[in-house]
Amino acid sequence: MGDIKSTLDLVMEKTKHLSLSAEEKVGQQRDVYEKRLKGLLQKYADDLQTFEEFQKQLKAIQESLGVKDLQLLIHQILKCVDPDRNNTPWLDLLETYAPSLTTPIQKILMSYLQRRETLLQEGSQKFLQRLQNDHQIQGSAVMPNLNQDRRIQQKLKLMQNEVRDKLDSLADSSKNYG
Amino acid sequence: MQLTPNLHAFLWTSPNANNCNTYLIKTEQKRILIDPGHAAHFDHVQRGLSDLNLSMDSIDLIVCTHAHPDHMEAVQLFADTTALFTLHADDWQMVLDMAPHLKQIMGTELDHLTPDFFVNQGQLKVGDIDLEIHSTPGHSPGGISLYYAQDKALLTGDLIFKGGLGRTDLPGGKSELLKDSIQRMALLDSAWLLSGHGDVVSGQAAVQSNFEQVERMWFGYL
Repeated sequence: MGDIKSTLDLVMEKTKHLSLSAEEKVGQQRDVYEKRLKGLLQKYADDLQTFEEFQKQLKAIQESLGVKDLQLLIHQILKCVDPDRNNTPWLDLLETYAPSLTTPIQKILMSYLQRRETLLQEGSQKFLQRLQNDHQIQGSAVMPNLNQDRRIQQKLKLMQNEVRDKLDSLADSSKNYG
Repeated sequence: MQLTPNLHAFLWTSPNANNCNTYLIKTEQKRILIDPGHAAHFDHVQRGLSDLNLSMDSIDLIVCTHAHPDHMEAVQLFADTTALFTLHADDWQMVLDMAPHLKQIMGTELDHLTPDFFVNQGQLKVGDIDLEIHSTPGHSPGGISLYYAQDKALLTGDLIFKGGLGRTDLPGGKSELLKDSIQRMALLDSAWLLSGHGDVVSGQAAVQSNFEQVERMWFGYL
């Protein structure tokens, strides 16, 4: 879904040239650019746009607003990266707009997935052992519900936060772009 | 109603309200309750348990054949007991997908319905009770049937009934899967067909005949 403008946004947009300083105008353009970028990325995430359509629309937005802040784009793309989901669309975008970031990001995600797999496997084994010891329940039909295991969920949350921090650091380090 | 020394049925017979049949497997060591039903109608199960000198606190494990409210809603009544609860993960996912609507329409919160673990196709051993869990989707995506080999009892939920079969028009229902599931369960050596609704079918010949009749009469309509 594209960005939806509030009445205030529309009024501000229409009247922005009337009383703002040059600096304020630039800041406002950046805000508009950021919002439209978010809308564009959402459409891309929802599979409503191909990669080529995304590129085309991005260029059109940049030209119409006169803003080409690559670091902002990278920041927004990195915000979309979710270590527990398929990140191919975001890595494809980064390959075009910040190719030197794709390898470090892939390493971060790979490391997270390996650690998550180990955590879930160990958690499953312990869960099944507890079920057997405490309740005499066992068998090939039994599958743990690790969403109910607070310890596992807390550890996962910590790991996810670590990934987020690393991605944010990468985003900050991308200020040399653009 | 006692079916065998270890197997009891709490059949729902009221024509005025919908609810399911509930079953109990009770041995020296353990008690498993299958499909506790609607919360508002659970008192008939409580009376049945009481007749056996049991209470809700006596139950070790609740198994739901599928996650429809008329089979599962009463699980929340066990929140303050030590009973564990299980069902197939695919049906739990169905519940999660419908969670906002459940809260809005039925006032149901998921906290007291969340399964302690899931079951998939395979063997389930609870103390001295051995069960085969069969994945039998079709009425719901994660429907299961339980086979208690000791008594040759097949508990099918809403997969098949005496003279009928489960509906496939609810979320996650699929006719082809239902037919396949019924045909697989027909191959088991069952002396009891214990369905989610309606009468119990007893005797190997009667169970087999029921499978054949249902296939002959109803498969063409799916």
